[in-house]
Order: sequence, then C-alpha cells, then structure tokens
Amino acid sequence: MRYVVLAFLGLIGLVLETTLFNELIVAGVKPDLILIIVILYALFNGPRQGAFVGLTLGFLEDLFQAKYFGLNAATKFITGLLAGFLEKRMYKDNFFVPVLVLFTGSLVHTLLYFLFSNLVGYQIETEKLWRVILPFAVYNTCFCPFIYSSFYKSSTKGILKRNTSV
Amino acid sequence: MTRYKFFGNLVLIVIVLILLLTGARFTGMERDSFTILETGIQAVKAPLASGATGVIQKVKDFFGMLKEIDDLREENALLKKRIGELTQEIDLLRDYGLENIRLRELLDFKEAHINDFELLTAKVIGRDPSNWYSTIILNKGTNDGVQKDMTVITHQGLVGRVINTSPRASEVLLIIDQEGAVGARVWETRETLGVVEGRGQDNNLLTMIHMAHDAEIAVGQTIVTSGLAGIFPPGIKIGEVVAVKDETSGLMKQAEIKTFVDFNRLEEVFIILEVSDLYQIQQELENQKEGLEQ
Repeated sequence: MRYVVLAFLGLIGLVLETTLFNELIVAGVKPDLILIIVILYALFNGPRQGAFVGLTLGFLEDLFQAKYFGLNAATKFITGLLAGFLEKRMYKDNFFVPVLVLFTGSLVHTLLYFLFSNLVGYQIETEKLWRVILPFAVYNTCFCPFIYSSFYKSSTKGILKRNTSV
Repeated sequence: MTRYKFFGNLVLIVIVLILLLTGARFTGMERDSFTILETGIQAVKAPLASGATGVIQKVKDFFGMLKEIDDLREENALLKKRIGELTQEIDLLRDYGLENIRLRELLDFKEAHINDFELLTAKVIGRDPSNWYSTIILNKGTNDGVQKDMTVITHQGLVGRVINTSPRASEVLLIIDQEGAVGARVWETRETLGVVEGRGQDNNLLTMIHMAHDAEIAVGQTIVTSGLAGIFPPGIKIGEVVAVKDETSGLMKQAEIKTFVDFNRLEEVFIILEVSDLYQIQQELENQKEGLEQ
C-alpha cells in the first residue's frame, strides 16, 4: 500500500514540478518534491528502502522527463541509499534532524547530478553548479516544516509505516 | 558473512549505477521515438499537467485580478494626488496671469503719467482687522519715501490717502470710509463742485454732497478730484454718477457715485510721492480755460 501511496505522491510531485513550481522559482531554482520524499522516506526506512524508493521515483521522473533516461534514477538511488544509512544514527523526533538531512541530502544530490550528468554526456558548467547548489538545498529544506509532521505521523503510525502491507 | 553481504550489496549498487548511467548515456537529450513505457507516462502526464496548469492559471488570474485592483487603487491615489498638484499649479498660473494683467495695466498707467507724478508701486499686505474702518496696509513705508497724506491710486482711479506710516509699511484710509471725504467735481463740466464721502460700506458706492440744487450733474458722468482741499491732486478719477437726487432740505443736490476702483479686489496700488509742477500748471490752465468758456 505504501508503495502505491509513494507512487501517487511521486506523480503529484512531478505534476507540481512541471506546473505550479514554475511559478515558484526563487533565486533561479525550484524545489524537488521527489527528492524530499526520497530523503525523508529513507530516513525512516533505511538504506535498502531508501535506495529502492529513490530508484523507483527517479525512474518515474526519468519517464516524465523523457531524456537521459536513468540519470534521475541513479542520483536518487544513491541519495536515498546514503540518507537511509542515517536511519539508525539519527534521532528523528528532533525537528532539526530532517532539516539537516534534507539540506545535506540536497547538496549531495546536486553534486551527484552534476557528476553523473557530465559522465553521461550532459555538460553542466561548474559555475552553474555553484549558482544552484545552495539555493536548491535551502529551498528544499524550507519544505520540511510543512511536510515533516505528516510524514513523521504517517511513517510511524500511518500509511507509510513499514509493516503496512498491500 | 557480513563482509560478503557488504561487498555483494556494493557490487549490486555499482551494477545498478552502471546500468542506469549507460541507459542515460544512450538515451540523451533527443530521440527519434519513446519507449512504450515513456509513451504511456507521457500520455498520463499531458492531461495531468494540462489540468494543473489550467487550475494554476485560474488561481493566477484571480490573484492577478486582486493585484490589478491594488495597482488600480494605487494608481488612482497617485492620479488624485497629481490632479490636486496640477489644480494647484493651474490656480497659481491663473493668479500669475491675473497679476500680470494688473501689473501691465499699472505699468501702462505709470508710463502714461510719467511726466505728471512720481509713483511708487506698493502691494496691499493687509486690511484693517476691525469692522469699523476701511483701511488697507501697504508694504511700503517711510524708508521708501512714503509720508502721511500722500495720495494712493490705481490705474482705475483714486484709492485713498496715507494716514499712518512706519519704516516698512503704511496705512491707507480708503475713500469708501465715511471719514475719507474728497473734494470732487464733475469731469465733463469741471464746474460742479462737491464733496464725495464714503458710506462706511464695502460696496464701492460713495455719496457726493454739498452740490447746489441747480448743479449740472447727470447719470453717467465722471467724477474726479477737485484738488481744492490740498490733499489730493486735482483730476484723479473717482467714479461714475449712478443716481442724482435732491437732498431732503431741497436746497442741495446729492449724487450716488460708483467708484472706478474695485475695493474688494485691491492688490497693487500706486502711492503718489510727488506731483509734477507741469501737471499742476496743466490742471490750473484747464480750469481757467473752462472758466473763460463759461
């Protein structure tokens, strides 16, 4: 069931990124809802789940974008994996934990995207990387107060809880 | 065992990565055709994005409209302010225009009488604060050569005489004040002598008294100063006869005179500092000529 919810959330996120978020561009960047979902989900469910959801939602994003198929899947796969490693090491009741993880996760994701895109032949200039990386991380982190509370409830007691089956 | 598991996982991760990146490498930015999966997703994406964009556009329109109302309000306030400023500017320019006309008339008068009088232009800076006297305050005083009993005129006619002076200002008793009596005569006949006095009202009307009952005076004639009392120079226009009647005793005639000067709109005046000998001789000669003719 949670995968269905995640897929639905991913789809909503992608539609919003394609439409609404174009109106909310700040400092040249728009937030990445899929990445926020992947990182927060990984933080509650560990590296294996994080990597899996990152791979799947990244895959969905690639299908949406229909170019460099696999690039988003690869970056979100690794970001989810790395965020998942913090599952047992972080005290998730503290609000600053997800804030810090989202911020760092966004930085790592941007770096990975830069690295992988250059590997697959899509050249991003370093100057653009430095221009985007910090505002992107800050913008994603700004979503934390609105999302984390319901994500926390859902992941501990609700529909995204790990043992909830389809 | 754990180490094997770790390496197994690492190899898996690397393989997945290689597969994904290889896929990305070979799909690139542009392709001739989509895979079935991509085609399916694009088919779902299009209506979703279209619907979302429609909703967003409506929301944007709504907020745009609110913003537009705000902008219009702001613009309206600005325009109102601008109208106020421009109206003030127009009023000011109109004032300047009227002042210009008045000053030009004064200048014409001054030039026309350059040989008759030494004139000093003065501005009316105040009026008597009480309701009892018809006096005005001018911005010229003894520092400018103004002295008591000097005659004050405009290009239209007689205004009054200076009754008080200070270094920078002087007070003028207007002829419409009941204390402001002036020796006068009819300009057309030159002979009809009388005294013009004010009625103590600000209605620009005077009464000419002490005229013989057979005096030749008629409505429409011009009344000028006679110069007999020695204060006002002779020949200065005072006003026009608007009515003639007998006094109650029947021995004397009385006339109602409308002043040429509009005392309600008095802004600039002349003070006659000096009357030229030539003017006085001229007036005397004209009097004698009139006398001889009669």
